[in-house]
Amino acid sequence: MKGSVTLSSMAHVAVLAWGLFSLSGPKPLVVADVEALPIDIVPIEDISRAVQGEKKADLTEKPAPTPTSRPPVDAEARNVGEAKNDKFSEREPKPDNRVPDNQRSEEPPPSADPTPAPDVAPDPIKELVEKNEPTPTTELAALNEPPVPVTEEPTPEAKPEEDAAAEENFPELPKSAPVPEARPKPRSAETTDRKKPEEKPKQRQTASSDDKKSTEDKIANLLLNKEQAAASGAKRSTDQASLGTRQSSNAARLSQSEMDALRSQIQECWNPPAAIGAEELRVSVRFKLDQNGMVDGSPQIMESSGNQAADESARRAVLRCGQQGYRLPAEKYEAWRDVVVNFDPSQLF
Amino acid sequence: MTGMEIFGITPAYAQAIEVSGLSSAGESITLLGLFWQAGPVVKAVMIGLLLASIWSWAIIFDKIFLFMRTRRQLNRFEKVFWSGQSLEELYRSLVDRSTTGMGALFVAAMREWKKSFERGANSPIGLHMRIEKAMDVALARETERLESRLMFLATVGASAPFIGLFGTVIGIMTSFQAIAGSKSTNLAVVAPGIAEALLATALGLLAAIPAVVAYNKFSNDVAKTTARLEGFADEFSAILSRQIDEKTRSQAAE
Repeated sequence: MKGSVTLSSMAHVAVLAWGLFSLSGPKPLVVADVEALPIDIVPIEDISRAVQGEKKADLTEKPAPTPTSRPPVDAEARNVGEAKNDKFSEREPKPDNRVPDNQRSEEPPPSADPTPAPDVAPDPIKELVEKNEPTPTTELAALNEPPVPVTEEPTPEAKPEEDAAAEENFPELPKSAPVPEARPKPRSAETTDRKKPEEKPKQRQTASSDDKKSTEDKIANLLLNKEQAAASGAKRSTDQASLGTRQSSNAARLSQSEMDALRSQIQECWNPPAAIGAEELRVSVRFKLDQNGMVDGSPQIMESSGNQAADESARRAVLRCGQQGYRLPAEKYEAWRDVVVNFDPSQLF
Repeated sequence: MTGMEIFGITPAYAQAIEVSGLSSAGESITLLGLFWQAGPVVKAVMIGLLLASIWSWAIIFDKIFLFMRTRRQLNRFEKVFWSGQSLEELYRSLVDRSTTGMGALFVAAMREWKKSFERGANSPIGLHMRIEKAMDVALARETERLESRLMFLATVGASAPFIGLFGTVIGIMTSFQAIAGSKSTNLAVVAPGIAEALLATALGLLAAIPAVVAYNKFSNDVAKTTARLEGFADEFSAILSRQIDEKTRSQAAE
């Protein structure tokens, strides 16, 4: 036994010694070489959704509408196309054509004095004090008898000089004229000031009634979009036309919660007619909404349930809720401008 | 954007881990370092397990030699016994030496035989029973010699893993207490303590596995050897019984 014990101890010592000197711990883990891969979650929606392009063109890598002839002018414009057809530039003033009209000939050239309107409008009180504004009553008179004052004598400033000194007079006129008509109403409390110049208004009325036409025109003129067609801003496309839809549908879709919100809004207004089976109540209503969430036009029954009362109840629900306007995210207007709502009572009850 | 940010963070994080790993890795991962780092309880457990391993391996070596010797002796004795040699001569050659195995059985039986005939005991049935008793006792003594200390192997095999586990639990407990004290959850703080504690379990398994294997093998060997001895005892008892019958018949004939 002694021999065995010594043999065993020697074996253990040998093994431990070997372990101590040859098993000198594992190599430390090297972590630095591992590179983390950046992972982005890409929704397939972005790819599968239609992109703006041309419906009948060949498919290319990048969809694009038909190229337009002019170079890009305004990147801010909304629609792709020719600027001529752009709605915003249609009502362009044409000063040359209107010359024969005697009153309008006095108009200042559009660029001559665009400032008066902005100058006058923000500061009506100053004008009141300086120029003895007519009271509301005087303004009414002016409105009632516009044809009379034209022939009357007290229009010395405006009439005689219409041919010769048109250019000199106009800097004066816009300042005096446009104000009285525009701002008198809210000032009814300040009548004490206005009673004083009793004699002058007579002249003034006539003058202003005469001026009125011209100033109205002027105002209208000022309000008009006078930019050149080229600058009115159509977004230009320079790429080759390729397959795509007419309108880009890249506008964000309504999320599930937003759809739920719309659904619940409509649901609140819906009183499904009693005594009709759930099967008969399936109605599909299509309606358009404007930017404010108001129903635009009349809702249209896409799929009738076959039951008149049920159809009408669905339509009423849409209209009633639309009275206050649907609360929807404004930035996703593209997604909800045209809505189809399926009324299905099996989800309701 | 976010991808880029994550990407930007990663290298710095990796670097931090690497630096801390390097600082604590160098000195303490060797076996001796782990042992010296351990707490007193874990150290005691490890030393105890080491001693148990040494002792069980001693027993294993001892038993290996014992069984080798025993098997050789049995073979040689059987060869001699069945060679047709006179049993008297064989007895005379063996009686002076200390014998083991079959020799011990043979010597015990022959001694009883001799004693009975020298004293003139004539009852054949009583003689046969006495010889069998003597051989049983000799057999029991032999079996006991073969089986001795095997129970230690069984005990080590059963309990060493638990002892090692105890050391591990204590070690991990203390290392977690240290973490709680240092208020740092860095892996570099936890790792050495856990490694050191796991060393106790490793030692326990290291002691237990050979012990269990050896115990199974040796108990099997003991059973086989005992069966062989019993077989020899039966055969020898049959031979002696025949001789007794022949002697009594010849005595009756005279």
